Amino acid sequence: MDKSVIKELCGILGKEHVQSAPEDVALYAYDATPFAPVARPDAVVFPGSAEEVASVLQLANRVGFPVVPRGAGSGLTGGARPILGGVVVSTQRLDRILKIDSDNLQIVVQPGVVTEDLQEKVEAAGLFYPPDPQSKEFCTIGGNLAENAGGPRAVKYGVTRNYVLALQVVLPEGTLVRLGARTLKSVVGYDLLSLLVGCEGTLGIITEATLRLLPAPESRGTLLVVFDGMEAAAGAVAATFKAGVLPSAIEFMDQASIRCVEEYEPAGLPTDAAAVLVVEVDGSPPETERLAEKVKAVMEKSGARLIRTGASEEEAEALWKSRRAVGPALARIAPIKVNEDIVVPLSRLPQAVSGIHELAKKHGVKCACFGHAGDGNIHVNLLVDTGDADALRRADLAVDSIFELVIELEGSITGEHGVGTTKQRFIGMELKPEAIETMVRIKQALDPRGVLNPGKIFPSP
Amino acid sequence: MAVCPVYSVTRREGGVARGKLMTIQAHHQGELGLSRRYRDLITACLLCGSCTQSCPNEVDTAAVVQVARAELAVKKKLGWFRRFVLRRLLPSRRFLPVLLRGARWSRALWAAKIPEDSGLYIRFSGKKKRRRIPPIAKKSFQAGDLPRAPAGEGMKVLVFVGCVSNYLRPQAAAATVQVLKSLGADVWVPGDQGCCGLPSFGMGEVEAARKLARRNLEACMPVGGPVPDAITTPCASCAAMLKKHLPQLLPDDPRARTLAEKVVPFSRLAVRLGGSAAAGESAQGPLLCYHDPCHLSRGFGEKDAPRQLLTTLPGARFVEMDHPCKCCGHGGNFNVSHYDLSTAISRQKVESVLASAADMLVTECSGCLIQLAEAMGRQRPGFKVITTPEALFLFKFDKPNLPP
Repeated sequence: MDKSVIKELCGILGKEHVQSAPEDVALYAYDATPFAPVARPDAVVFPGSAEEVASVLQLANRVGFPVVPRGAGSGLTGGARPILGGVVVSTQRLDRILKIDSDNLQIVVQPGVVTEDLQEKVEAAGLFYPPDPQSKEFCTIGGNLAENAGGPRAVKYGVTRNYVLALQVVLPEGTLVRLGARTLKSVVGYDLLSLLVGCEGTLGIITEATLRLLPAPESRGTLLVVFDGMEAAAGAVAATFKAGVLPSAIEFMDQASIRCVEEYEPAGLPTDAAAVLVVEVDGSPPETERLAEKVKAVMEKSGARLIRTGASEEEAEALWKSRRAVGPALARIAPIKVNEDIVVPLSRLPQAVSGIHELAKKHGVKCACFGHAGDGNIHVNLLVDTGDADALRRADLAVDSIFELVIELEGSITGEHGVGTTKQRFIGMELKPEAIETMVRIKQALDPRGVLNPGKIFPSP
Repeated sequence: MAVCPVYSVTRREGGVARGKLMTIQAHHQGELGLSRRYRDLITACLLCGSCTQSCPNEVDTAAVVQVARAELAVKKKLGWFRRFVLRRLLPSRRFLPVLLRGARWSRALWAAKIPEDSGLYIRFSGKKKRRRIPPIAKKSFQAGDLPRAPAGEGMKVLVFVGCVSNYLRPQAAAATVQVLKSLGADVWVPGDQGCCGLPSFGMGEVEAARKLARRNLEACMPVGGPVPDAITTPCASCAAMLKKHLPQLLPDDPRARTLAEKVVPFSRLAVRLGGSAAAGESAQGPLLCYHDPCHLSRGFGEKDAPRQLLTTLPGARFVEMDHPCKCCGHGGNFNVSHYDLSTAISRQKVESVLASAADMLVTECSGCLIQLAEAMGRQRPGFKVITTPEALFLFKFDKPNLPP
């Protein structure tokens, strides 16, 4: 990149907020995607206002360089990696909560706010922001919006998109726009909010968001349900809804996940069980109790071997802790894990989990499945040792066939992580060429010079 | 990212473990040289171990950073002044006392208008305007009349003093000796001991650290001399150095391993000697809160012992502050190389202390002590920060007059 461009960037942002030394750009050459090769940008900028973001994009259109937005770099599909160089726009300085509006149940935030910080602030006001991605301790709300992040509570409360009322966005050509309204309903014009949320930073850089809040549930109840068969556990999920209960989360762990987490952080999970479900219900205390009883009855009918209720908050927290520990625990036994986040319709869940295990076995790869069974979203982890190139190749083949199975079951190849660069070659499996073509045309219309996060989502023609 | 104290202030990738490891990796792949900026990034780590604690794979980032620093040091990329301090001054037996005496005089000249007891510290002029230097003791602890050999009765405890307790806070060392004696231990303080070597080691000055390790080994474990049952110190960082790094530096000397095995953090030893057996919680006296030093809570995995001691003091009450285990931001050399960052991190600690409504802050590490005394002093002049042995001395044994 030309020195004069760096100079212009310094003019826009101030020298201290532009970094271009090799040591500094090396720090923004990766995100949390496993095995992604490093991709260095030419510069990293830390804008302090939406106007500065807009100026950077205007410059990019004039001079012609890629611009890659970045939150905390916790994404798993390479979306924040500047694969074509250019300028990384970090949202880390835009990290203020601008307003909590308890009367209208809204919060106005800048994109760099850490999701858990937002939740804690909101909870202190007796309110509730449900989306809870696994990385909430450090990921940013801007990244959550760009990736349309989900989490365990999606089964009852939906995903990030369901909480977005309005956005301030810098479009690829550097235009600052406000989309949406401060109301729950608004049908004026196209629903561009839905286009921007989940665009993986290819259609705009979100500089401010007005998010919807809920009253915090008065109480929560947690149950641990143990099964001797994996299919029985998966089948119990659909049965729960059929019985008229909408839990706030139903999490699934297979035997490999249970054993792994017990080794890492023992919580007394039965290691001989084929699978466990962790079910959470919420509401007023009598409602929670009633729902928990109902869930218990359904689970017994579905062949549960053992049901433990997390009577106290501590017990419930311990159960959740072991569920959250699965990811880290797996990372411990296999340094490299291929983590795919497939989704299937609920009724197909039993076929999916048994099919995935069969395919992994067929390709000779160790496999652990866990995740948000309540919404049909299962994290398939293929465990590979570092340096085992053959196992890695087999894991790749296994992924191909697992995705084929998922599509056959009318599911989706990614429920939360997005496409980024790592799933580009698979999108044709799920989307018809006409659908991809339509999306590419939208991208071209909004970003005619192709400056914003180029090379993502769509495979290069 | 959620736990790194440096990242919590900078919010930049260079602060966090992942960034450090990537930087070092890029250097090893030949993509980054040992530039000034590289050094900046490598020194911007507190070595607090928070990342390792929360990492499922327990990646020891601090150790990787130390190796990277050692490489920098070997290739002479340290500034001449730091090199001089770490290689010549700290390992020297004569230099340091002389220098400190000089500093005391100059301090007296500069600060002539500030009364000694006001709790204010002097400020350096020049670049680090806001820098406050703690007062230097009139007489170092080691210059006093001390038991130099075991007397023969009770658990044989060797006290390692450390630089801060020797030159800046002799009360801490005196309290350590007094408290252990009161708890029935047979205490002695070898005269030849010096700096524990952690500042040099942390900065990658391995040879200077080895020299100090050798000297301390000879002082504490002379051939044919008395073998202590325990070695303790009012400073968790010194303890960590002696326990973990001293045997690494002297792998061929079996005495080094013996010495390391004997090292017990002060509060753990005091509890073992019955220091927490008391009449239960006090309803009166000043309200104390406790800051967990990284070297004690993560280094030794010891969080309970200091609390057992502090919650059973007859003369003081105890309150827990928010995030007591979060690093204070001192990080040894970090405080020198990244002063502003260090100050910003300590500010978070100060907020926790003030929110707890405590009257006094207790900790068990000389680095934390200096850092927090400076940080608290900035917000609340006169606010006392003391060590665990001092707290026991003041509020357990009812002897309010510490030797000067």
